Amino acid sequence: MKNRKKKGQVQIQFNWIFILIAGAVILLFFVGLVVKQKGVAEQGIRTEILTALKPIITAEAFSEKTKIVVEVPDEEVFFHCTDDVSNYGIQKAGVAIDTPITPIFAPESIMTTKMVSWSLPYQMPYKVMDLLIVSAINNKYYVLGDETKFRTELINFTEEFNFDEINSGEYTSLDPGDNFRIRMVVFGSTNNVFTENGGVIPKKLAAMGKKLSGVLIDKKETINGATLTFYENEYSSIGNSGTWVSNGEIDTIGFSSMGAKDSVLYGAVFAESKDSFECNMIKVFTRMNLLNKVYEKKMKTVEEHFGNTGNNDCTKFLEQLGGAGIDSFMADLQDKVGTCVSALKVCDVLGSGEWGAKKLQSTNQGLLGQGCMRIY
Amino acid sequence: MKFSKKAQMEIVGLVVIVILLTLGMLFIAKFVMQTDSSGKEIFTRRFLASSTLGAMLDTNYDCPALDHPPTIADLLEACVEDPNRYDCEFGFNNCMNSYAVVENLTNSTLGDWGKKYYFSASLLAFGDATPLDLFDDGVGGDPCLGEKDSEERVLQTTNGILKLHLEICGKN
Amino acid sequence: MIEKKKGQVRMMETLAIMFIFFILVAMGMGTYYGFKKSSIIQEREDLFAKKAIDVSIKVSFMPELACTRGEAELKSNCIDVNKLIHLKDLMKDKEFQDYFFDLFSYANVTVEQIYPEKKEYVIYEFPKPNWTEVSETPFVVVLKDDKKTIGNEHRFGVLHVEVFR
Repeated sequence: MKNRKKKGQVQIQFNWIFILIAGAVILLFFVGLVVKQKGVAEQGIRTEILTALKPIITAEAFSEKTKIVVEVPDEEVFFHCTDDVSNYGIQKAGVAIDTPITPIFAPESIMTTKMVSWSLPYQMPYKVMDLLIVSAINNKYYVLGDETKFRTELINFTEEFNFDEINSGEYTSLDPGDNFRIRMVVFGSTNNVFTENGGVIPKKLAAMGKKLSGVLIDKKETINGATLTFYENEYSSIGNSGTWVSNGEIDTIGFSSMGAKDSVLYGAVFAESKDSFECNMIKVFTRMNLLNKVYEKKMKTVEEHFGNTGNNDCTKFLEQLGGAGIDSFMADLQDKVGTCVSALKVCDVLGSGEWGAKKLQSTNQGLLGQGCMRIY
Repeated sequence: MKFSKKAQMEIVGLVVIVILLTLGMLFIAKFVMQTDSSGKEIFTRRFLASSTLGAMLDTNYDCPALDHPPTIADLLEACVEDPNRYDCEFGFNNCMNSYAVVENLTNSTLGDWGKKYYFSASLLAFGDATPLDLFDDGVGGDPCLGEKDSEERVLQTTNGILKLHLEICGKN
Repeated sequence: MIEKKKGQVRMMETLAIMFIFFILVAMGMGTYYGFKKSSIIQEREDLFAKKAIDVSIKVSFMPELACTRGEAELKSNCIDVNKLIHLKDLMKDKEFQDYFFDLFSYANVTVEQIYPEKKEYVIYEFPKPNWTEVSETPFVVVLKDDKKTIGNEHRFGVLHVEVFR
């Protein structure tokens, strides 16, 4: 009897142990499967974001002046441009896509469910390429300062983005709220929020750290381009305070776009910093260097055509390019483009009525007016 | 005996479940693996219809007799307004010229690439409700029955609205 | 003895159930991974096809080729013959090759004039060494030669873009 009782006790205990072990094994198996799948799914989402971004970057050539709003999973996407490296990618994934050709004016990183992109042509005087602007619905742009035509245009044409006009009084009580990044776009020269009160940033804004940046646009109405000063937030956690510090100044008067919209100024509004702005503009001038070579050869074809057809009325317009002709004119222009690539600070390709892109534009308009074959 | 039958019934039950699940999975697999046209095919077809029609209408008709030859759009307009407007080939009017060149261009592109397509030009005269086809059977064959992408252009003529339609057929 | 046999039968039953259960799980996993594999292959094909379209779009809107209308937007589906013939020659320069390789990668880009007479312009030729697959996307374009004061200013052509992998 005793034996049987003990056997029964052991059997019951053994049953339970067996159930526990078997159950644990099954559970572990499924938990392991789920965790593995979660990792695969996360990687899939990141790839999905990069795949969704790629056509936007490509579409820069396709959807000039249109804005695209894309829904993306909520992951932090970075945009990076320095002398050696230009890319974008997902912060956590550690994977980036190189963008050596496409100029992308964007904040350093965005984290959003709605990404907005906009491409604007850069013309000098013919179209060189599109500048791609990328931002997010949760990036806030506060516009304040002097009333200028460009400021009005900026507000009117950025409905899809998150722009707000404020005055200096409202600036001191700004609250970041749910915004991931804040950019102050200030129009004016002296006595602005970047320099007043020693450049001290209101505490709530200052707490944003590097996610707060700014640009001062000093634009004269009668002149193409503007003087840009980029600012960043020098934040100190001790005392929770921040100060505006300039990270550089660029004068775009010599190279701002000749198109209907000044894509360079728009780029400056959205670019993270002076370095990022410069880096992307260099891509534009690298392309311009090659494009000018094509147009130089076309201009010679045009010149030859006028010669062959004995069209002196048309020839005289090309002769206006300069005494030594097309070769000399284009060599000079290419020289200026080369300067833009190496030293944007002193870049001047726009020229005047006598040289540069402006001269090319007036020549082309003359050819058009006369019904001649045009350069572009 | 009862226990034996119970156990047997349980095993049979399990086997039935396994068979049902297998059949179900096979059925789902067959359904999921059916492929419709890929994104590339649809995009290419759409863009091709648009680019082919656009390019065709802007192309100058090869008319050595004229210093400034008409475009194919001009030729189609002439077919509707004045079929002898452009004197290009002896014996042929502009309707015949336009049919021939449209057939040539579409055949040497879409036709050569194995695409089924259909081009039609129809005039909706002012005051009329029924459009009149310029080419009886269209160009390229029959209108598409299944999947297709198309592009349309409208030309204003003195005799009415000329509607040009090009469709490229997908998989049927 | 009967109890022992009962216990054994119960144990066998439990084992059989677990065995069947794991077979079901294995079948489910097998089917799932089968789907996943075919969807990954499909995605790879889609990405390759997208790449072909990307390159085609980039070429057809290149300022180096596209027809211009003064200060207005570039004309779509239109190639300026007087830029095309020069770009074709300039592409032989290393500077151009290096730059456009970053844009197009391994690809062939050819413009074929079909009407009124046949001509071919090979702009970019960079097939991938030991390529296994090629995807071609043809776009119909107008070739504009505004040098023509007499005759055909607008011709009918095709832009052939082949990408490799």
